[in-house]
Amino acid sequence: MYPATITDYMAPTTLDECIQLLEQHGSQAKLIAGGQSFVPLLKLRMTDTSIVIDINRIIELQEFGEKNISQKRILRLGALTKHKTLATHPLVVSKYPILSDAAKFIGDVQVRNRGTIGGSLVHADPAADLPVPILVLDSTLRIVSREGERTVSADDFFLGIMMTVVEQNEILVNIDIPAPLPGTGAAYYKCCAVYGDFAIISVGASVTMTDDSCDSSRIYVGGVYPSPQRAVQTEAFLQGKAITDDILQQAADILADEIPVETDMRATAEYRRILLKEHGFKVLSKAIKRAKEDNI
Amino acid sequence: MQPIQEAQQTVGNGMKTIQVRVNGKIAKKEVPIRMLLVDFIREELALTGTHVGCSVEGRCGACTIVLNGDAVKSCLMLAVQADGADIMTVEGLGTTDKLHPIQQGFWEKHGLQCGFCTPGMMMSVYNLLKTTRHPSIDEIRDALVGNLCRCTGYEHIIQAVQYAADQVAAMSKEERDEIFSY
Repeated sequence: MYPATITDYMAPTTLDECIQLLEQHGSQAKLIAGGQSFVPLLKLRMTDTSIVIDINRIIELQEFGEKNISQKRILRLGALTKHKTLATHPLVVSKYPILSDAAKFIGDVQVRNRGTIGGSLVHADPAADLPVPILVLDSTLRIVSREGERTVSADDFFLGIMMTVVEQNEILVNIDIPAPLPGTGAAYYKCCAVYGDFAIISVGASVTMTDDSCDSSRIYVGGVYPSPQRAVQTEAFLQGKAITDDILQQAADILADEIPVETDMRATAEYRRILLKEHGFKVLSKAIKRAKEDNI
Repeated sequence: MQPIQEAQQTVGNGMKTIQVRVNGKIAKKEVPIRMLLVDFIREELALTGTHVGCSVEGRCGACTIVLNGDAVKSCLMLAVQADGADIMTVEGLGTTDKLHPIQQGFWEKHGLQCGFCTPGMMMSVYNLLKTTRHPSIDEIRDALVGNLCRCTGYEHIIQAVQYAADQVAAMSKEERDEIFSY
């Protein structure tokens, strides 16, 4: 299958050059990073892009590592950070394991070798893997255009199915993730029909513990419409409670009840609720286990 | 290997000139921007070992190549994106006189039936064995998730990879560097 005619292709090397091109070409132009979702869209002719701007050579999008920003420790991920890096880099695996949990679920080796976090977030497929951990970790996203730059919290970033706050003339530059508080553990799990497929349901949770008691948590569910949903009732239920398996079972019941699930081509709503109960329990247990390991 | 230069030339009319190095040979060609990398490799360079299977979503992995050291699906890239890249296709793996250990493994263990998926499989195996000395069965399966085979049921492919891994492990560092130079 062939994409429709593309009249021009540019590969800017600086962010300035890129936002200038975006301004100049308006809605005809689209950015390409890993292209693992975008090239199929071109082939299916589901986008009427006539100008492709390849952002892979832009240095400003390639930052990766921990740094201190106004006395806060953060992990900065440039938009071009590959899924492969998230899945395997020792810093991510040891300190931000929910990100490597999620990245390992994406597609296959070839897709992870090329796909990027920025591309995945801006594409905003409701069943994608990375939106959930980005929300759970309370990340901040930096977006730049000719007019200047703005930072948006992950909670405000997703607007709907394949829609985000990133405007036509803007580009997502990086994602800042606050370093976990002491006693915090986070985990992610996805249920899918075949390994590497999109989520039937996915769950991500971060739990901060003091001894056996839960101080606070952030829990999100993916594979639901229009974008990942926060489980506020489950979070409220867990807060301040001494954690036992029985409490976690009750939390998973609340979780399965409060998230609005739908029937679609992948699964029925009823099946989703069953999976959510089962895997909500497992993900919370894993996050708490990691939180306790962190306490030691 | 020395990095090669990008051509970075716009011809106009939806065309662009690119320069790539494929299996050690430099090629400079004018291509339509909409041309997929797999079609460039097959039709412009006449290297038809790289196959087109699913053709849309990039699920089958038959078009897998090694691009700047990583296995990627050449149907999920535009050819113009590969400007300045170093590429290996299945034709770069070994020769009939001197098979690459990966090819030897597929030969010895009957790791194929119709053979359509084999070039892509071998590129993914290359990606695995380049960095993993003694892969477990789980690691082999994980490395091959992106490559579909409708004939073998995968068991013989896994045995082929194990055979190849043993051959590679028995080699000296110099020999290994030579056969994993991409």
